[in-house]
Amino acid sequence: MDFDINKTLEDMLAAATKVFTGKWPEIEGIVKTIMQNEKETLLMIAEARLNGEIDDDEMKGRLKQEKKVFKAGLLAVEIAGKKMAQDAINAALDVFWKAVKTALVTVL
Amino acid sequence: MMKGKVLAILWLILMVMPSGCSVRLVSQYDADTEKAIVDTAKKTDLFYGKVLELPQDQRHYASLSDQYVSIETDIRSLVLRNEARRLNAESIEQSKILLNLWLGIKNDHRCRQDMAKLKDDNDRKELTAFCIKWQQDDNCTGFIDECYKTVDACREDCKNAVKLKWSKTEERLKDTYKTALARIDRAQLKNVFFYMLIGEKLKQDSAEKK
Repeated sequence: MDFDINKTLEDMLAAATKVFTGKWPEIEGIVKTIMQNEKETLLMIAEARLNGEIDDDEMKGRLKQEKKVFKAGLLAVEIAGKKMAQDAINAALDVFWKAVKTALVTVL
Repeated sequence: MMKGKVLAILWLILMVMPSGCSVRLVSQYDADTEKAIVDTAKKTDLFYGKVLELPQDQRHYASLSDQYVSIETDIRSLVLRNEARRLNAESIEQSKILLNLWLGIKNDHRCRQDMAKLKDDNDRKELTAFCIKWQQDDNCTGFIDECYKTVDACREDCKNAVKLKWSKTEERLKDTYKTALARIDRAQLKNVFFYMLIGEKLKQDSAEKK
């Protein structure tokens, strides 16, 4: 049976790495977008306070809200990370599966 | 001979199946949920568009409460939709954050009513009590309620907190929803909807994206 486990493992690792490399810029982009949104909202809150449109209590309340918004953003990053891991595992398993199929074909 | 038959069957199975087995760490993409996020985000933004069109002294909670409740119902339905899906912890938490944020904004607006316009004394008392409870400090959670009922029996700092909240609440009740606050709330809600949408879209597999 033509099945080289070392070669298969190497190929599996390469497939997983390819997924990580391909998906990383996407995650980086999401983090950057979240940080930019945070910056804009914090600036909005600061300007409203500096212009006297809101008082200290109101600013505190909106900053408290902003913490929750930021958490929602980080949860999106968590989903991205999990999805990337899922795709990498599946790409590696796919390589393994194909190697087994090929070995079987040669046997038959 | 027997071995050959077994291998042939195995080979057939392998050829028919596109892949061995796949691992799932996040829930499957759901187009209906994506649509529900977009629809609720649109409805919320329209609400703010209308609020900001009104002069500040006419943004009364009572005239907007129906719309608040309608959006709250949509958000609760989003929470439910997410809770019904497996491997969906992050999206469930995101939708709960959204609900919490919305209830906070709704209650804050409810507490910005002109007390003089409330004809009934009981209505005034009820609203003030509601607002004090709502605005309680994190470090006093659980104490304020008690303090409110039996002021003498509770901690000194919480007694002071209650007194402070009383005066600030009465002050705030004269205001309506300020333009700056409405703009900040609109931006924060838009961001949460956006993060929920990103989360849902990320669940799409390459084949679904095509």
